[in-house]
Amino acid sequence: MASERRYLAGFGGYLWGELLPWLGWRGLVRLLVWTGLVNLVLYLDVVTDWDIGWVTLESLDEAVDLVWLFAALGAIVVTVGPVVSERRRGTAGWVVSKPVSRGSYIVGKVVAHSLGVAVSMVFIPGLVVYQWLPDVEHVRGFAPPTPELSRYLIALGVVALVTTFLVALVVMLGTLIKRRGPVTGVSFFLLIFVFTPPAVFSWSKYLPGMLIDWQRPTGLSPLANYVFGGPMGPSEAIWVTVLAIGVFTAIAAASFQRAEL
Amino acid sequence: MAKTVGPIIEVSGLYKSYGKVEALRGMDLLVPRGTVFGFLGPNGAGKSTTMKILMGLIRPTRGEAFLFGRDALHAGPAARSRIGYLPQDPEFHTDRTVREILKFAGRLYPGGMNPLTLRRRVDALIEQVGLVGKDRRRVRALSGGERQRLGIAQALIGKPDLLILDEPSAGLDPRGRREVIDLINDVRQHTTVFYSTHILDDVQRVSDAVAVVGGGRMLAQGSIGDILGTPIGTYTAMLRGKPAAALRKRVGAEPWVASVETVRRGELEEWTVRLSDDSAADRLLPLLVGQRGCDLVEFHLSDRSLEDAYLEIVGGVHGE
Repeated sequence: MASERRYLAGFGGYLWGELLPWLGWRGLVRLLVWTGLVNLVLYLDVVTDWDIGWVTLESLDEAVDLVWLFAALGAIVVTVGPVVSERRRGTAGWVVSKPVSRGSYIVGKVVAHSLGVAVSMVFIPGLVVYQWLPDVEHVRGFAPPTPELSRYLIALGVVALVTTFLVALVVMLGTLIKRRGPVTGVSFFLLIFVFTPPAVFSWSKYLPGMLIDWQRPTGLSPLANYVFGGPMGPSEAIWVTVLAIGVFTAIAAASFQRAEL
Repeated sequence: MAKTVGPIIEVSGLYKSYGKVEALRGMDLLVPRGTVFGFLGPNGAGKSTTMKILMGLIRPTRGEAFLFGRDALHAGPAARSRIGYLPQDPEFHTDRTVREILKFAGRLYPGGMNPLTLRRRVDALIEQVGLVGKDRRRVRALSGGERQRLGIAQALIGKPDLLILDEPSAGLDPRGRREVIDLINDVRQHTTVFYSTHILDDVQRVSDAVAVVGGGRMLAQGSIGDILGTPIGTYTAMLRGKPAAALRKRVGAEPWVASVETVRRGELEEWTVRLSDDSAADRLLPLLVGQRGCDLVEFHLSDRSLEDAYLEIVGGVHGE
């Protein structure tokens, strides 16, 4: 709409307002539910040897993949609602009638949801796993090496980067499509496409999936490999992921700038 | 260059089309600083569209709009920090409480208000709009009237120079409507209030000036007195007793009388006499005084309500 004199005017106040739902008791409930869910599934898998198909290893590297899978699904679900419904119901119009630029609205959405997902769906569930899983593995007679915490945290950081990619994707789709069903559907489709096993396409080394690759049939994923001392996945995939986050956010902001609210 | 004097809102030749539907067709508007300004018109007249353009929420097809002397279409957050806006059917985050919504809104203003100031401001507004005891209630649990009160509170949170209220009394009961009027009276010393409504009694009670719009354009604008217009020569006479039929015939036969209507009200008979020549009032009065069988107890120029004037003005564009 109208060109804004300060592109990120009102960003701080808006970001704080968007973060509050993640910090209050509702955020705490969401954190507990999510952490409990991820850890319960992993515990069942490890202790009962329950094989749910795509989870085959019972160690911390597998935990990273499981945290990633849940966080990816969660990132889409928790972002679609606010982005689409706020636009349709008029809440977005109310927010930008305040001294908040449209750029701040979009960037704030991406940053707040990315941080919320990273903390409550990636780092905290992942660190809880890190606390108990090695002990359980030892009790069961396995003796996987305990990875360095720093490598494990970096691996979780990569997961958070990729969930940020998904949040930015959903925000972009939400500003372009404006309907919850299609945005959710397209996001899940792209989730599968972007994280397709690298062998399918020669150019898939540029996809974020190369960093995580939870669909691999056998062996350690690039991220799990990193956790146990191997190299990180291709740097191209990291840069492309970062670039894509910026491009998605810019497209969302440009689209929202012209939107009639 | 910003104008520091002159109207706080200035709209000139504003057009807005949604496909083949023309919401605005050359809207003009001047809202003087320091006034309470009523924006009147039937549904679909273009009131909300004009307000949304002023707030930068939608873009006009063509035309100009100025806020505080600056181009409203490019005014941005700096101008909006001086405005409180209540949209029609306000929609807030339904999972947040009244208090959380007001704090959220307060933090969006430059400086963000420190926590103590913000808390005091929120407390004061909750009391001012009558939401005490409901401040911990989620928006989704509020009634329509309570949501409207919250809308008014959030519009006031930044202590605005200009309040733009799109039907602030919608959904409110008579007491709530009265409170809105009181609230407008409270803030009028420091704030220009530009509001739309269909409740003309309220407008007449509180507004300094009004604009009547219809069919996407301005039909009339001015002070309440200007809009009510020059008396059109209708007089009311109250006669006690039973005036002779001949008297009515005689008055009606005068060449300067356009019409005579009579209504019985107990022991009184009310005559509404419309003159075709406004200067003939001094000839009407002697005809009614000292008649056999009745006494003239009251004689005055008929009042004309804003509703009469409004209906007369919008009547010309009704159904466009």
